[in-house]
Amino acid sequence: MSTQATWYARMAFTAVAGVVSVAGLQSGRAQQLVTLQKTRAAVAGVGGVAVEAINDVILIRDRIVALEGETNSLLVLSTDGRLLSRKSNTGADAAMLGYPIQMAPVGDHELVVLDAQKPRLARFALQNDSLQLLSVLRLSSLTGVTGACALGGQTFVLGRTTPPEKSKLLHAINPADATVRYSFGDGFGEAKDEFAPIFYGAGKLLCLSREQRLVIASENYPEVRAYDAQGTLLWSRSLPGFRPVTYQQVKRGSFRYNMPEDGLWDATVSVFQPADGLIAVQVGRRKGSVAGTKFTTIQTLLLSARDGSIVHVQRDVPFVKSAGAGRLFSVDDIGTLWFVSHRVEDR
Amino acid sequence: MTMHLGFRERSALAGLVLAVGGLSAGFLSTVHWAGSSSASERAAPVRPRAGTEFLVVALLSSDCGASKYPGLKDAVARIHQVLRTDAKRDGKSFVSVGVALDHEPWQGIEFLKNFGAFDEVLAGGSWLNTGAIAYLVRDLPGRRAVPQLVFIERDVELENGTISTVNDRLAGRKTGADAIIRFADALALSHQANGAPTDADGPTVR
Repeated sequence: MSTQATWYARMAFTAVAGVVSVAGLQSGRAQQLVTLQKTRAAVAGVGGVAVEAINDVILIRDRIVALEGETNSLLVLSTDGRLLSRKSNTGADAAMLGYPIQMAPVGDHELVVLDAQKPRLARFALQNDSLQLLSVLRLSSLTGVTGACALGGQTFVLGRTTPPEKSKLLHAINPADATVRYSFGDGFGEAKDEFAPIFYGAGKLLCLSREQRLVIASENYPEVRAYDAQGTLLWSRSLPGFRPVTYQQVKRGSFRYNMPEDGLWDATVSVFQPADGLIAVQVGRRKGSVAGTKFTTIQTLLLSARDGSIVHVQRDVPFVKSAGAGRLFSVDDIGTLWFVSHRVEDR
Repeated sequence: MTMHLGFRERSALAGLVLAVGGLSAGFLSTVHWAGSSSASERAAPVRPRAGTEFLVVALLSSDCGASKYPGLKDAVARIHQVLRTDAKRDGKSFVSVGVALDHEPWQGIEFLKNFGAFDEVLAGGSWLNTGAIAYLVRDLPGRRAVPQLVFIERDVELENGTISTVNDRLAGRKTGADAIIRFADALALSHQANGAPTDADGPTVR
């Protein structure tokens, strides 16, 4: 059973197909993201307590796949929040992942899961509402991986090679033997004594299939970049008003981090595509350094996928993990998935 | 930062100590279990017994600042208390396991005493501790970080009085002192509200 509540009463429910006109961008008109209805699915674990670690959520065909990070299992849900199957992480036909952090759809009915513990890519196929493990590829030349996505039959991974000071950011993976086919994108940060912030916290990676580009954002750096699949930098965009935590290498292997004086700091927490031609970057603001602290605010910037220009800034969008087929997949509350239908409107 | 991360390799598993209820019970024996009745608050499981056990494995280290986080000891004790009651209600045996990833086994044992009574204790060997290998690295892989609680449901089958099959199912993990404390609080809250979250607002996936 699912209860659907009207979030914005003034908006009638519309099954948005996910294809939204972006004509407004060309003429300079602003666009805003309007959320419509929310469907809830709570994920409970030991003792009936909500599972905190819902690491990622994506849409494959008409099924939602959630990466549950306490048992590292994959949940397949219907769009009204019913659990259809659970793919365990352990056992004979399991992926045995240590710290899976991100999923990416591949084609029509497959997905890859990026494991950050010992960098690996596990590939699954969705068959009859359950997931079958196809392969696990060890990314032996990479370390510190934080994001993955697929574009044009290729899988890209955001991470580093060693030594880190000579690292490239993005790596196209050869599916046959998991070797890096080619790498591109220099590290963020220019000062030599400052460890490139991309390597701290989770960098986010998003592939735009229609626009054929890759978008990356560092959790702790106020910039978003877009590349084409061959590694050409198409644009970069500074995020206005971003309050980063800065890191400084005191000595080799030892770092000091400096927070803003009032303790309020920002992190890029999500990058997703609400509609063709648009990307959304979410910046969460936290108080203090305690992990798990809820965001005091989440600012959502809508950017043109074409040139990175800022289309609109909103504060009423929940924390979104991904988007697809007219829905936002949100983990706004601990242990609760929200499937939020939405549309993009001219303002 | 509330977690102690890293994998400090050691050349051997020297200094590995398994102490069961304060008594030596042999290396990783699952057949003979010598329970101590000195800890009155602990309901010592009878082994071997067919059925389901619910294990709470606490992976800690005195070398790790986050394992000394204020409130963590109390949280682990509260979690044990609630889940022991749940296990009894569900007809399962409750087993608390303390794993100290210290370099020095006896230092680890001493540190684990701060967290109350355990049914089993495994200490020493740093990140090559046998419990760490089993519950973080190889058998039930997870994030290599302490403090961490690993929850396991273990089905035990007997044949002619001896163990024939043991199957473990990972039920969950809580990694980091803050997550463990939040879990203890949430567990207490959910049990105050008669034991289970409500499904009033939508489906609950279990």
